[in-house]
Amino acid sequence: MRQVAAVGVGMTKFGVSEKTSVEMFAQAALEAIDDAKIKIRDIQALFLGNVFGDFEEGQAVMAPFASSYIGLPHIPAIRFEGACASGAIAVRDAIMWVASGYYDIVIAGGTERCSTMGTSFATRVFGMGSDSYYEWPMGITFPGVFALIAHLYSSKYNIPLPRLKEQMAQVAVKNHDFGSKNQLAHFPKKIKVEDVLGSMMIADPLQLYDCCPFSDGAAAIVFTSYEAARKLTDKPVKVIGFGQGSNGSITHQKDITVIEAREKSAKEAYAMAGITPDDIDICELHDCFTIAEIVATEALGFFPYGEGSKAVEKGLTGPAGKVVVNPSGGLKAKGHPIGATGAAQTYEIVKQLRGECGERQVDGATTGMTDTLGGDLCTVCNIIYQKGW
Amino acid sequence: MSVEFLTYKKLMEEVENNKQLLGMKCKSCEAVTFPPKAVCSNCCSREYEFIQLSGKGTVKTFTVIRVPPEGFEGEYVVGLVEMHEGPNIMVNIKTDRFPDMSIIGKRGSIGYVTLPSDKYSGGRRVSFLFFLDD
Ligand SMILES: [Zn+2]
Repeated sequence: MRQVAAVGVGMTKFGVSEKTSVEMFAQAALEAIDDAKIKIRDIQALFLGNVFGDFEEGQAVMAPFASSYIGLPHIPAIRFEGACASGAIAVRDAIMWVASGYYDIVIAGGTERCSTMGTSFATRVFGMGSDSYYEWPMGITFPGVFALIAHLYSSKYNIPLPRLKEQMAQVAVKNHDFGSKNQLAHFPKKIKVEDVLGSMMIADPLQLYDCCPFSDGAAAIVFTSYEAARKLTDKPVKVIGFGQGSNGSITHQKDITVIEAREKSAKEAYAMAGITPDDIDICELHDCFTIAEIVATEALGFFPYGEGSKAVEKGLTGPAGKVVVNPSGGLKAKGHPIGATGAAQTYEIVKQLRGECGERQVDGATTGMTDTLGGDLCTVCNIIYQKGW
Repeated sequence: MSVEFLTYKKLMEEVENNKQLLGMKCKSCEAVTFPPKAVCSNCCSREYEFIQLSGKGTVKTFTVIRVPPEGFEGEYVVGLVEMHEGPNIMVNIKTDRFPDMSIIGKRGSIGYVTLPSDKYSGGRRVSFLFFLDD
């Protein structure tokens, strides 16, 4: 397989948008194309993450509409759906097609306009990410799934719930500290532990500030072969490893504090890259809920199982940590336009490795990883990037 | 060769008509699979029989849903229960008061209620309940 590199990235502000999903994607895509210094017509295929366009805008087959809108009506354009990991699996496929040698220049990304649905309808639609037969009939919600994980984590590792809740709150505080320095973030503001612990209960023990917001937004990345990338830019960001894994219904998962799809996916990515978790400087990971960040740092191998929550207390995932987790603000502060999230994580890693993140720049970062999770722990995708200059 | 799956239709009929919960027992490794799959969840064997599950289990974890999705009302308890035969099942735990961590490890029995179809569900559903032993 050929070495692949990211040569251009683009991203809209996350929040509530007046633009359509296709318009948001076009904004991110044109920024990525300009950043890559290529012409629109150089692009050979589009890989687009989009989850609920059907319900948000009554729009299926989003990908060909998106490619047409940016002036590429005839290229293959494919929509990827893996719930909240849709953008990430679109990126992974784009990379594989370039690696195979079939395409030389492609664009990948994601777009989502959650805000059109309104809260009540949105809760029904998001419920479609659960097992429709064996989970949805019990009225489970996404916060509910991670609440089940939080209680199990407390019980399994003998961490009293009040202490775990404090540790979870520290995840939210950290990610909002980072997010306050990201002007594209949905909620670029700092919060305190008391804000989290004083917020409305959503699904015991998760409170409002343990949860990420649903957002509108889009992100896009241009990938080329590394050879081509070196001619286009002084700062090509190499893809050095990737992996993907799946899980069935929650009931078929032995222990939901250990997401096996993620263990499998990360193991694949590290093996391909020929590195270990200790080599990762920065990681954009799937903090849809505060406990989700804690369990992710364990399955990704940054900390032993049961130690992820203590690592937060010790600042090991903060700005001066062993691995800087979610320097963009994460899903928590940056926002979560579900189909775009995996692409937005890629945007941040590329920008960080190129040293373009201003106030939130992590100095000296050379290797970064994305981690995206979809559904009730159903789909996980990991991609590892490295400075290519 | 045609394989007879433990279909959702069959499972639901058994619950509604006989208040019995069916699972699959592997003829090769004896593992019990629930919810049903096309093959044994342990060894992928296609040789299995349908068995009646005891309906007994232990609470592994729980949450109280305070913000329900469309189609559900009020505040209620969702749990994951490890069944006596091994597999997990998601349930609504029926309690007089909202539980705390002490509910983890408590035993009880599975019950059933049928949910009507909604615009998107493509049919009715069984909702599994859980009643704690005294
Ligand atoms: Zn078997």
